[in-house]
Amino acid sequence: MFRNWIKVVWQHTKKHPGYAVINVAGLAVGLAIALLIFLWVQLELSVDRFHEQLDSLFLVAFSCEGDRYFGGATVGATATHLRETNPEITHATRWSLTPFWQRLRNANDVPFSCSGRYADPDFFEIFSFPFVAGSPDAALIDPSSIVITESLAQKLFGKTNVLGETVREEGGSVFMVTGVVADPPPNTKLTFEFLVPAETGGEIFNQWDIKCLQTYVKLAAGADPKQVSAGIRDVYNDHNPGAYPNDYYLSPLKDQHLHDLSGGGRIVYILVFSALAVAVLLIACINFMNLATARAELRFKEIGVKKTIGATRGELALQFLGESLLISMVAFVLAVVLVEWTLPFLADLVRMPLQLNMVWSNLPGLLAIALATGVIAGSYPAFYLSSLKPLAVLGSRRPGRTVTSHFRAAMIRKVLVVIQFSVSIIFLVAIVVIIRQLDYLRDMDLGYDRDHLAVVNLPRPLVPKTEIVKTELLQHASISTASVSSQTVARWSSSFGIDWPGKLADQVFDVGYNEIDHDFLETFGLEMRAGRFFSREFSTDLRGSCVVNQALVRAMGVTDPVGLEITISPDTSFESKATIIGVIQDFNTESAHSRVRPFLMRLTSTGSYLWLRVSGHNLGTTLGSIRTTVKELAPNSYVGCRLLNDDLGGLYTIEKLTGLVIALITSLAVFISCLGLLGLTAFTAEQRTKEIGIRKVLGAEVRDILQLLMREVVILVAIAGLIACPIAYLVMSRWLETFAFRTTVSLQVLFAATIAVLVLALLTVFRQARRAAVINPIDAIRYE
Amino acid sequence: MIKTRSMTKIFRTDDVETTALREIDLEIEKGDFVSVMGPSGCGKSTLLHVLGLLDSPTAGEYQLLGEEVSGYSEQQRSALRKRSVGFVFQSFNLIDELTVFDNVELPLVYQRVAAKQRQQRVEELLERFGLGTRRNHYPQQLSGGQQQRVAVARAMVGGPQLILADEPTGNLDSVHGQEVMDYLVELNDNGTTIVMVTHSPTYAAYGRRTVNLFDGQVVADQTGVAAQV
Repeated sequence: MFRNWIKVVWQHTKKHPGYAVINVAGLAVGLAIALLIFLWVQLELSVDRFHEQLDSLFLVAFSCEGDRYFGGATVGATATHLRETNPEITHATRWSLTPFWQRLRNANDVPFSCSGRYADPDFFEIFSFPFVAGSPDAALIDPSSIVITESLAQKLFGKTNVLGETVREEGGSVFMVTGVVADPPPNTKLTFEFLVPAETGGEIFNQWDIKCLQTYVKLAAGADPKQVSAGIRDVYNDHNPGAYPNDYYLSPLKDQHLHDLSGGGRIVYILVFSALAVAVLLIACINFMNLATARAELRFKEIGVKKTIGATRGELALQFLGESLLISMVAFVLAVVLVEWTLPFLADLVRMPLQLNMVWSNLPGLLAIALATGVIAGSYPAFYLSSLKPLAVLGSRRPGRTVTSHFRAAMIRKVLVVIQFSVSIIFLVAIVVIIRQLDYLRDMDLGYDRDHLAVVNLPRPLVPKTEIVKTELLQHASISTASVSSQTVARWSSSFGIDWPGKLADQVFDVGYNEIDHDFLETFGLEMRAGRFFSREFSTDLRGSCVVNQALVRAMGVTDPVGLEITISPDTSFESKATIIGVIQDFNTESAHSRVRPFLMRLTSTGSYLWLRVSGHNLGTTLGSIRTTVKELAPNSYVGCRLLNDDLGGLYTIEKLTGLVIALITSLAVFISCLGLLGLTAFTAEQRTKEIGIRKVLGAEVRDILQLLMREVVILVAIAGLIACPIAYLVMSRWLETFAFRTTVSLQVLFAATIAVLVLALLTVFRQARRAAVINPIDAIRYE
Repeated sequence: MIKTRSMTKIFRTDDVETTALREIDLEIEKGDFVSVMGPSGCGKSTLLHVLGLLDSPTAGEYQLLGEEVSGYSEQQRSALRKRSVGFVFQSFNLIDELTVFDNVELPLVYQRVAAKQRQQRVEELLERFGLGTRRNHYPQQLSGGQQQRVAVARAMVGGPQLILADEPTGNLDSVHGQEVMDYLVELNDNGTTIVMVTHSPTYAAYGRRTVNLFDGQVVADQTGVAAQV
């Protein structure tokens, strides 16, 4: 019987190769997209889920202002305190927020640049990084110990059994290798090449006032995370009375990668992309169903004969389902080839280590998707074809010709086409809105002139010598002004609370902070709204003065802030007083997802960020010469130098990525839809040959026939537009609401997307319709 | 009304040349009722197609309503056809997707007649043909006789001066065949010229004149009772 199936499928394929190509190509492209997204989602879902006892592992996070803000960085003293005072927390480790680069020299004094982190001995009790040499118990106890990965061991020593070997840091410290661990897998965010004890990080790692580390803990078996959370809530606040309150709580490790502390996060994109995958597959399945039922008449005889000689409905349904499974398997093989081709490209796009071998290790899952597709695509045709009555199929009254079944099948096909076009229109609106929003962000007025602003990350040796660096760089004709700051301007970094006379109890808010020099105002092209900026004429500016932004003045609710003395970080070891000497205009220090927040600046003469106003021509060369000049001043250091605009672009990476992926999927979805429409039109035109002939006999001209065949497409797309536009509007408006600064979903966009799909659909059917319209009517009606 | 002079139609495929009509000389007056008879493949249908402007002759002259149409383009033929010629086919050739009303209305649509007038005219005809209660039915829901009545109604809705019927009774039983012939006679009595192809001598006898074709040539052209043989 199985051979019989394959024979029938093969015969049909040979007779109508065009339909077979459309069927298989549509399914293959749809499947390829679904498989790629599946692989990516698999990888995302597996990040840091491989640790044993995952459910008892937590990050210590904090919330402020009643869950308005969240943070994952904690003060250095947290880990030790929690372990010593809370019996339910069995292990705790400090962990550096970002890896630091260090040159390590092996016994032969050859330097290797590698990335490391600080951790406590408990690190290996909490996380599962298997040891290749040494044991986790003793690994990071000694202050001079170092744990390295297998690859680094190979790099430094050419072997992995290197316990007891020593490496020397650039600064002179010597570490002894106490452990070699397997390389962290690609699906972990806890990346490192080497680990050194957090004890070596200095006094700052033991303090209660600077949030400079992450703290991970492991709970005792049976401990209730909620109770522990409640118990540690005031740990920070108790040690920092009067400071801006940070309420500690436990955030599960397994959520760290996918969920932002404040809600949302990558999970949103995973859900969105999964929905996209399903939508594209649906479009491909619809093609399949449409073509299969439209071509049903070609198989009436086969069905009739089989039923007459005893085939049951179930057997026939199984046969048609089997055929669609067979076709979906062919499509699957093609899809896997497509995936293999495009995976490296996607990996680059999503910045995830997607690898070809993932196709094979996930084969059961991928196969399941293909099988499900085959079943879904084949279900309706199987149901429809197997339900036909044998006499009706064989007799003169063919089922395609009986009123109800004919119209029902045609109606279902139309509904399916409408679904396809609705999805296409939604995709199209989405991509246009995303592009417009990204354009909007790019052109948005940040409050300062960001074009031609370059930023240099000064190497540590140059930080105390910024004046010299500035003087050297200002000799370049292409650099007009230069200014230093302690923090970058493109991101919201450190913050604290403030006090001032007349402050009300409920006026608790966070104030962003940066230290800048005299030339900041000019370099950034900012304006003062009241008072004055820092000036070299006032030597007092360096100690007791500050400049604030308008948002801070609004938050304080004072009318005349200039001259007001405020207390910064009250009741902490950083407490200091400063007098407001001026109010600067609001300018954006964060991504456009947030509004401008209260901000305060003090004067400094040194800093690690150097801002340069460069002139327009040949920016690449200018950046190159800046790098050379700085490098001459600090020969052994890495010099980071780029344009602020490029830096700002980084704030919207995920948005850009989404845009790109949706654009890709949109074009493919529209392509698959048009492919289906092409097949369907070809078939309808073929089926309607007689009707067209009759109409021509009765006086229809070519344009009448064209109108007839294309009017239907117009109606279907119009209905699709009516369905898709409100959905697209709602979805994209909600997405835009995540931005504090945003464009709108305009009627024009909705209209344009519908028209674009309409034009594509009409172009698709035009050739077929034209061919049908010019037939000789006699040929159409001659043989009856 | 119709005048042909040495009208010839040749069908050519890659290597076969078939002469379907051979130098036909034929004159049909306005108001005539001509039956065309002959064995299968003798060129009856081809003659009807050429006379009905569905096809053009390969050689010779053809005048319809005083116009020389043998050199007409497809567009010109189409324009004249929808004004002046109605067709009735053996297999009815109704459009399955359209209702009785829509089918009858179609020629008027292509003649760009205003909607209101169309409705009036179609309804009038449906009543006359006893199809008033069937106006919203689809062809598949009608008997063969009813379908052919719809086809006749459709052929005459545009008020053509010439009706070409290709075996209009071929798919009908005798009762319904009779009914269709009655309608054609009535049309003819009202002044419409009719050319009908038939195999049946009985139905051919309804015509005032019978033309016999053989191998694409007119072999007999009889008027009156003699035609009934």
